[in-house]
Amino acid sequence: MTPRTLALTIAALVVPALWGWLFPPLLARVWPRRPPDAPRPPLPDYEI
Amino acid sequence: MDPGALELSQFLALAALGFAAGAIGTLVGAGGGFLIVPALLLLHPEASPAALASTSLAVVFFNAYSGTLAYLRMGRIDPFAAVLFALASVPGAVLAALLVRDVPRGAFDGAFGLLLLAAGLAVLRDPLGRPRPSAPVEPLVSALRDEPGRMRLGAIGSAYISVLASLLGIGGGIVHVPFLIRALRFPPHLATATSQFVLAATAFAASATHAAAGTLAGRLDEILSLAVGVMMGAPIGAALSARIGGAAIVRALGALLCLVGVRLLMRLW
Repeated sequence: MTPRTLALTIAALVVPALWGWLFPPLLARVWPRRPPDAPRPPLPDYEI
Repeated sequence: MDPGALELSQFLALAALGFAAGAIGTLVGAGGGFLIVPALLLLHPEASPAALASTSLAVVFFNAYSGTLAYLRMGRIDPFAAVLFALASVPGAVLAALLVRDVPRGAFDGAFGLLLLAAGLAVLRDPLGRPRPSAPVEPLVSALRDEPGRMRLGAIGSAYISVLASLLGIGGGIVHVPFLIRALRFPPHLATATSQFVLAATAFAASATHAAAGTLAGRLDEILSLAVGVMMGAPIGAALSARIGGAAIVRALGALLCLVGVRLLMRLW
């Protein structure tokens, strides 16, 4: 295993957890919130 | 495959493979990458995992992109969840696209064989992936942003699924959709559509990484031939899924996945 492979393997194991932990609150903070009195969009009648 | 050397018969064979992958993949709620990769593994016994994964991911992108546009028009994608999971998944998809260049062919075949075997057994056990009786009827995704734990679980889970998917060259819908339904309590119709959006984003990021690294060079003919077939087959699969029960077909697919998985594992010995 080359140092490049080792570094990429460690990054692929660590980055998703770290980024997945840190990123959601940041997005939630900037994402526009629906006004509480706004009507909910009707969901179509799905065929699953 | 030599660029420019694609004959009509080769185009038709690849388009037919893409058609079958698109139709069957959509029928079982996935993108078809899990069918394209094993076919490419058997067609190109000497090709590198990076070459095969990059080809499949590019095809998956075309399919997921067209599916995403359709689902957006139908209003079936939860925008917050889709953007959250897509952006959470992109770094892992890029890292995995770089990592697959270092994976030896034997290990790739073995990992894919195991995945197919597991997917085949799961499909045989629960052919139509119907939600459990305890699953909620009302969509709960609107509350996702107010539940930090569930939001993080979705982001981290999606990110690791994208690493696995990008490493193996599949879209990842076959794992992501059940994850959204069972771990995050998404209603199935939102799970399949939201997963398509995430899949399009991660497949694009991984394909762009492969293109920048030169892995896609000379594979455009093959990609476009497969993509034509997949994009024609996907609507057929969608129509079939609405009109027939499908349990028998999906069981046959499960058996096929198991067989191909065993076949790939046997190549290790």
